[in-house]
Amino acid sequence: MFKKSNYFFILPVVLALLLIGGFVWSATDAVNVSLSVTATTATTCTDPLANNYGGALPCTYGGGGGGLTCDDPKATNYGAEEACVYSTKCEDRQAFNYGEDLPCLYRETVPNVSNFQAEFNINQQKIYLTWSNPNFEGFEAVRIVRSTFGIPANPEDGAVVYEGSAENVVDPAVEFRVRYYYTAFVKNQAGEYSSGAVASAIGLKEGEICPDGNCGSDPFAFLPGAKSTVTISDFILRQIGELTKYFSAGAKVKIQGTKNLMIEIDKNSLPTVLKTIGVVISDPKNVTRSFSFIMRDDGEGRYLANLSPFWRNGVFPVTIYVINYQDQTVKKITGSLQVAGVSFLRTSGLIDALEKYIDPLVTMMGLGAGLSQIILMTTNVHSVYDLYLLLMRLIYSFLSWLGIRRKRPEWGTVFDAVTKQPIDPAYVTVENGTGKEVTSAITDIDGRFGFLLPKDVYYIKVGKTNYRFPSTTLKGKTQDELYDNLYFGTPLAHDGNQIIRLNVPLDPIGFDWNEFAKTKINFFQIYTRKEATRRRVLAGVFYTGFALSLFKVVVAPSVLDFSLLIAYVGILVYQKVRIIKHKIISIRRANGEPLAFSLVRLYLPGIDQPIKSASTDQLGRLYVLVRPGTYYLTVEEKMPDGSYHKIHQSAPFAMPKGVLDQDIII
Amino acid sequence: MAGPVGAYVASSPNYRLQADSVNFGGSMSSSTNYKMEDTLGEIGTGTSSDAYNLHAGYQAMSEDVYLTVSSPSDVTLSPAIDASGGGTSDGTAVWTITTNSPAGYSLTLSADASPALRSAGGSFTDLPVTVAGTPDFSWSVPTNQAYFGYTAEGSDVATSFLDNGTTCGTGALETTDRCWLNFSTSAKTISLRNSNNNPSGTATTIKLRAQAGASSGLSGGTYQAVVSIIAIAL
Repeated sequence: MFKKSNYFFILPVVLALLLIGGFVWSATDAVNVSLSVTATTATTCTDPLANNYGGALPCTYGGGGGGLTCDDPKATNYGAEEACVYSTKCEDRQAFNYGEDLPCLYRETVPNVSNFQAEFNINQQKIYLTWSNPNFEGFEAVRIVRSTFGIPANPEDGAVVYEGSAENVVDPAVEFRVRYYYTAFVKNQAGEYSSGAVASAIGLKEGEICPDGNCGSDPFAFLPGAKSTVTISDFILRQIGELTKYFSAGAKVKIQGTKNLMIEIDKNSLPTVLKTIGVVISDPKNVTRSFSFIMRDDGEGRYLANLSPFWRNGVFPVTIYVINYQDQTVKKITGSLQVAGVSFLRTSGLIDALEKYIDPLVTMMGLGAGLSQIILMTTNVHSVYDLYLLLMRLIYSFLSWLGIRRKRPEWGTVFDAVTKQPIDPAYVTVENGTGKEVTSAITDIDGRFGFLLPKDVYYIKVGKTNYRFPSTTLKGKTQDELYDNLYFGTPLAHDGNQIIRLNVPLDPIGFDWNEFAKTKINFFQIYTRKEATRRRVLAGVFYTGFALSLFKVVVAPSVLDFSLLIAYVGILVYQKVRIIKHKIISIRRANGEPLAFSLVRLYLPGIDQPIKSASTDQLGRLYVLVRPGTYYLTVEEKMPDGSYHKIHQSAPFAMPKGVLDQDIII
Repeated sequence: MAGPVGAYVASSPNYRLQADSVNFGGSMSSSTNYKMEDTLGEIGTGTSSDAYNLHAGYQAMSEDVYLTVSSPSDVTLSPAIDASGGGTSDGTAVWTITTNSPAGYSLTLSADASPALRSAGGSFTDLPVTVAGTPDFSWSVPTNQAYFGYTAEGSDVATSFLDNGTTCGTGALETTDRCWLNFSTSAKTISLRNSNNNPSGTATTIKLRAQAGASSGLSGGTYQAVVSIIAIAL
């Protein structure tokens, strides 16, 4: 019999999941799609616009109705209903090989000076000449030639008043009532001259009138007009990258003010008896002020002149004088140049001010800042004296490089009796028993020196600014914590068989270790502040120079500016790399106080012999270089009484590069 | 108590209850030698093998919801295109979706890269369309371009691939070789159905087209794309 339990019929309602698994609700699939593209050369014309579409290559066009029109102005068939066809000839009239095979070649003519002015000073009875040199690579000098007979047409056509790179000169040898004509020829490094800029002046006394009727600055104005009618073709105005313009009487031609302007005319369009052509460009703001120049026969059938960029925008009246050789008459052609594109910076003279005044400043700042950063990065310079040490170190390194300084297998060391730091440079002299100097040496970067002398009795003296010899601090000792064989100026009996190898302590003058020990915490604070200030000043110089250099590159770039900027960037990168690679370690207490002038000794585990000893500097900084391996180190603190007390011994640790690369916290 | 016929009774983002039942009553009985547990109502039972599923017992569901997808072969577009002269190359891939889900299914398409059809030396531009996500009615390629795209055809094709004779995304026509769309790495729904279609299933044809203009600058080589579909029973 089965016995029903008493919870029959009272089971809770139960949710039965009949089927929740095993269904396929989603499915994915993927196919690879591939396409072969062949790179064979087409043999048929596949352009539907071509006449021979589907036929053999090449495609041919034209014949009208094809719907294809050449829309490239550079093409020889521009506008034709066909594909563009390009010439293999130079089509640029500005090129001197115009009409010949490509590429186009451009003649480099020497630009003239700009704003050439001559002014008579009645008080000094001198003529002052001023001008602005053109800015181009290869500029050599300006030669100014003077004549009283007419406008000097070439650099030898008159007396040379000046030749150099200045932008003003005084002509003292002038007489009253004589008109002087000056032509300024720019000379390039190849010895070629510009066509010449012209100015004239006449000395007149008070109340006198101009004898030639020309009191303005136009040197051509006194010449009479031509009696015969002369027909002259257009002058050609060329600027690199601009469309060729033509200048004729009454013309107003727009030019780009920031580019050199070449004025040119074919010789065949001029009278055969022509002597020269003068061009006067007047100042639109001051009609009595003008700039004149002449066009030169280039020997290739053209007269031409090259003008430097303009200084400001505006409409400049232009007068061209075609001077007849036979009767000194002129034909005047007047018109104007509409100058555009000159920036405010150029107009205001800011760029020129930059070039004249800020440029040298930027350069000096750049060099100074670079030097300061090199000093900052490579040395611990804290004073002018440190700079002196740095300079001496560089000199001695150079002498060593030249082989002038001898390399010695063994040496003595001149060192600071308090800090144990080697002293570099110190002057070491050797005297014999009569007080006569036998030899001398200067310690190297590690304070080392040595002498090879014959048998005798010697005295060694060591001189060093701010140090005292012999040392009284260590007097009476034969060795200290780092050095043995100490020497204090006593007679040295040398047997002549070996190198004199002595360690010479020097006492620092003005450095009281006891006082330093008492106040060293404050000292460090001050020192750190001083160090921070020093770094801020040097960094300020650097970044100021950097900013100026960058500004100069943007506003008025030059090769030097780019070089300086690259140098700045290089220094910045080096700083970053150096910070990563060359961390200077220090030894300090847990509270941050550096352990100044402490001794650090490195031992080989198991041998327990010091392999290397070194002392920290005032900021507890240290540099130790040993063979890569495993070492342990001890730290001996310098006590106020000058003794040392061992305060730390580390566990063995690996030095894979042979240098300490972690701060030591005691 | 059975759930409603023809639909699932509850769902979460990860699971779906196709049917449920509530048991009540029953208890454990025992004697000296035997024990028995009886219920009022009955749990569902079933078993399965590789070929069959057995559904029996109280309130057993009549059938699993399933969805099957045919897997077409890889597609080689043909003919090959001459890089210097240009040309058009086509291919098709057909997926047949079968489901007994009363709510039907959706089929989405995507490419695994953008642009989809590429080689080591270059790629076809994914077909630019006038309105993003909506196929262009006509296919055209400028002479200096190379485009890759597709169109979907089939009785369940999504409305965006239907047209009114001039425009896609509107109308009910399924004009052949019209309504071209670019491949995208985002899934695009190409077929949608709201009822079961078992056992015959419904085919969706994807027509792929690559075309290079005469001066497309295409470099020679083998261009490849991977086109993926996801079919989901609704």
